[in-house]
Amino acid sequence: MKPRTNFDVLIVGGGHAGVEAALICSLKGLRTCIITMDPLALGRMSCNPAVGGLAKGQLVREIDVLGGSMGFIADQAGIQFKVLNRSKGRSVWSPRAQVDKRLYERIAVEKVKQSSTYILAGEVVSLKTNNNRITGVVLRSGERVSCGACILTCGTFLSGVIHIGDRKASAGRLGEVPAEGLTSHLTSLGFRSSRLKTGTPPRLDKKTINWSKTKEEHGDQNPVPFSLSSLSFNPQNTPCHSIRTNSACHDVIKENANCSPMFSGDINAVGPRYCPSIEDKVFRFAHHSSHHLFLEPEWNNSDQIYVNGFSTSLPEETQLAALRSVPALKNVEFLRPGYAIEYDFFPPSQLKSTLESKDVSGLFFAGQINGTSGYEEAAAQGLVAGINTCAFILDLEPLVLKRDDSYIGVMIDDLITKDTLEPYRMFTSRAEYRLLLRYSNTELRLFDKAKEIRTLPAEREEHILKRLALRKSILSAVKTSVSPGEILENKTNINQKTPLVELIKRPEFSIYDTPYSKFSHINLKELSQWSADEVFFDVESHIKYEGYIARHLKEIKKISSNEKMVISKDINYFSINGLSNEGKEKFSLVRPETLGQASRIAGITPSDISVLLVHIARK
Amino acid sequence: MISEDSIFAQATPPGSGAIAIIRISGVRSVAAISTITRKQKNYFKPRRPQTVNIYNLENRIIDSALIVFYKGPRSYTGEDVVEINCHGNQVIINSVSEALVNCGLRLAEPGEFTKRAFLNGKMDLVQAEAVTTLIQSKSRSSAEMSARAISGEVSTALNSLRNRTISVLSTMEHTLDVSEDEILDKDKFFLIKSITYISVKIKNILETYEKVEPFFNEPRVAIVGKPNVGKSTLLNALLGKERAITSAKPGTTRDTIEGTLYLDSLHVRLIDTAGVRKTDKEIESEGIRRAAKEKKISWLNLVVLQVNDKIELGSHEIAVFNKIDLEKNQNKFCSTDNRVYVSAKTGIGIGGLKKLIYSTLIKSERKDSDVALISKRQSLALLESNKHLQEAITLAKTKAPEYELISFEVRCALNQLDQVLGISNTDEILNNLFKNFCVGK
Repeated sequence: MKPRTNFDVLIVGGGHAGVEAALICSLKGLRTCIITMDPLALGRMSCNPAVGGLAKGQLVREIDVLGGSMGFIADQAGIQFKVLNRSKGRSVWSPRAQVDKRLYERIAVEKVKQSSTYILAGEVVSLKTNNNRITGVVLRSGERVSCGACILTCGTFLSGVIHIGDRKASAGRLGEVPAEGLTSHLTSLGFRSSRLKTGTPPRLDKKTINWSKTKEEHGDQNPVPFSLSSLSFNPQNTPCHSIRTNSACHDVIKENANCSPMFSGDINAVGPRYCPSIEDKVFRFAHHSSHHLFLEPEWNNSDQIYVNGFSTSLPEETQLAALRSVPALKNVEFLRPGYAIEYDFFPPSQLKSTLESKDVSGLFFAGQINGTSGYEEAAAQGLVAGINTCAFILDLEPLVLKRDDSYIGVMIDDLITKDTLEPYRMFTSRAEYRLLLRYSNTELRLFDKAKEIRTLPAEREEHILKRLALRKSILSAVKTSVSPGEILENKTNINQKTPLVELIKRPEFSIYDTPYSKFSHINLKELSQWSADEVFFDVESHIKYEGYIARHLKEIKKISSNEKMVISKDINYFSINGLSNEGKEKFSLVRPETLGQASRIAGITPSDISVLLVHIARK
Repeated sequence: MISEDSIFAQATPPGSGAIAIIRISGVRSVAAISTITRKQKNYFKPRRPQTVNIYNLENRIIDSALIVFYKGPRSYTGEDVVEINCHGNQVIINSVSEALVNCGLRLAEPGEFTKRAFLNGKMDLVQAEAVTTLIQSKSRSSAEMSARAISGEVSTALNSLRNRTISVLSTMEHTLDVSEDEILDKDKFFLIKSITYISVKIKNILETYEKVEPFFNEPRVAIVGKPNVGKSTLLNALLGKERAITSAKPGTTRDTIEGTLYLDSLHVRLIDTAGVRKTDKEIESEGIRRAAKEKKISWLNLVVLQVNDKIELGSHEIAVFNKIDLEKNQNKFCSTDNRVYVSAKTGIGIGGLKKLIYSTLIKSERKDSDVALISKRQSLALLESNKHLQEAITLAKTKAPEYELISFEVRCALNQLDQVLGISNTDEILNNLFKNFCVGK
């Protein structure tokens, strides 16, 4: 059989990484093909029915400003929107949406179909390379497909094994077959692989829940969308419900913990510490007599309810018995039990910051195959891998994001320099320049890059330009002074004419306490209410945090020379005198692209860095 | 950091003595002694002293020496270490050194053994620093404090504060990053309490440092005043020897003259200065300029006066009314805590003055249980750390605190603690630190 030859890029897997990659590649005119085992499952939300949340909300807005699709789809499929962390500090505010999974998937499939992407059903079992460059893939059927570049976005499907109590089954997700063979093929090409684990909670039958014993939780009154393409925004506000576990529930779990494959040692892979299973929570936080659970509809009028907070791999009977100890769930029935899944991933230190393999050119990796967890993390990588695939094929400048311009930059830098010991999830605390990375200033950080790669839809670009213009007008308006009579006394005290910006720096004073006359010349009609509000709020944040932001910028400037110092690919670290043995090993393993990356590798000492610096400088 | 490159140095002072010790460290240590002793490598058993002959290239015996081998990582540097105890003759030492260089070893840089110990995780920066201060200690107190720091006492205290800081940070980050619950007043109260605890502990450590600092630094005490009030005589009286030339002629002292005064375990650098007066003589004016400079940098000034002179004292000044022996009714002059009446000539009141100098420099004695830092670098970093903690507390006490700002300040505080212990050290600190070492440590 002659290979198919009509594609520039093959995307192996159609999850959130695959969808973003496909959409951006076809937008940029590449002949794009998604190879998936189930063409109906494109953009499937296999776990929680939500998008965004702490740190992830920032990721979604960044995806949006770089031309990705997740935010816009979530805005259309969302049934409840809420900005989390409002009581904590403005740079950690994070938008989150409860999402209709089915609708999300439907829109995603529709978008992929509307693009010129070809969808090919099949399972990739090996890759074809020539001179360390990707040339094509081979399917289980024996069919060969050639390509100029390939993005692997295989999710949890590589040698996936599902655990429910002591029951084990090979699967990619519950009810879907895993992908076997690709891992061993990649290993034979010299890639390192390892195993990780993640879990999902049970799904409950809506009719069997006593809803009167739950607490209703609503979204925001004035919802904020993820996407700057969502110009008019008037989503549903469907309530979720919360309940709490109790000691009876914890007792059931404690008695049966030895049946959990994680405790019995049946799962060797490492699970995430931050998204612990309920059995983990009961043991690790033994001093908590109760944990919060959220009952979330999986789609509009869904009969299937997701139990957020109850991820588990206990036997089905134990899961059921534990949940039934909670009053609201006394008679609850499962539509499907919770389970844990083990899968292969490829430690991403094998990648460049473009997400391209360091060894096989044209081969990109994105999503859970890189050891991350979460739709948003996957989508962000899919987008970056997609953009850089275009750059690879079209011979353009690649997109490399930085730790000080985006959460995506932090994530990719972490992935390629740090050991991945558990599924990687985005946290705001991973970003050392957290105060700079607000969801509300995303366009300020990334618009210039987006313009360069030309990936933004016209309406989004126009919206961003208006927001930047508004920001500019506000910033010049706050430079003017107000006199004591113009400010209400209960807001703040002034006894002489004072620049507004000085007042806004005061903790008690809000930008909204400014006399209307100061902003009356600004035309707000251009923007929707939510968007204008967001810009005002962000300018206020910027002013209030000025001192801290200045400290951040100073730090960034100090280390920026390291980031620009490029290290040759062919360096032989074992021949460098004065490097520590650990330094030699770690450098050889990671092969850092810049001195900045080198300095962030775990176990590297400052003296290793200075030895390396001297070595580079001598060349 | 197990370095390929192996080093050696003489660990005992140069010159003749009963024994001289040459220390070797690095992967080639054993190979090197095997070569110079013509023994198999496995002849040398760890931690067992063995007497062997050492030969030079011409196969002539250099010395019969006692050799002790410490197998890494159970050694001072964490690498293979060999100590050669040879006879204390510089000619022998030079020959052994030459033999070692012929084996491909190189002479260690100052402090390199301790630097390697630090880099190989055998000690932290506080302990490494204590090695220097112990070697340079001139008093029992500073030696004891340095020894206690080497034993890890200071490190333990700082590590415990560091762990507490990390725990505060992780609680805060958990609130920001994981928990979707609101922050309650009790959480805020607990946060303030935790940060305050760390801050108070750091303050205590800093206060202790203030008490002990003079023991490490040989504080400078200047004797100043008008010409011919008896400053040089006072210097001699305090030192108990004729250090400076004295005469009845005003302006005898031109240059500053220094001597060490031993006050129990405190060593004081005593500086006699030129008397201040209007003069057109070039040398004397230079002396007066030097006196003024000394007065500025010294920790304490002894202002020498005539019995009936009036003076307004600044802080760090003691008025010394001299020549009391010339007064008829000496009993009417009573010394206070910054005024003393003495006779430098006869020795009246000199004992009291010494006590006063001591008690002015050492305001209160350190309690045995107090943890003492041993360097200015450490105290400056802790001071900075505490500043950030105070800022964090101020932020936390506002009505609607921005938690990520509090976290930012606590992180800065942690960075400073890390710097003290050398955890996130930069080479700058390292190099500064180790350059004060002499070779062989």
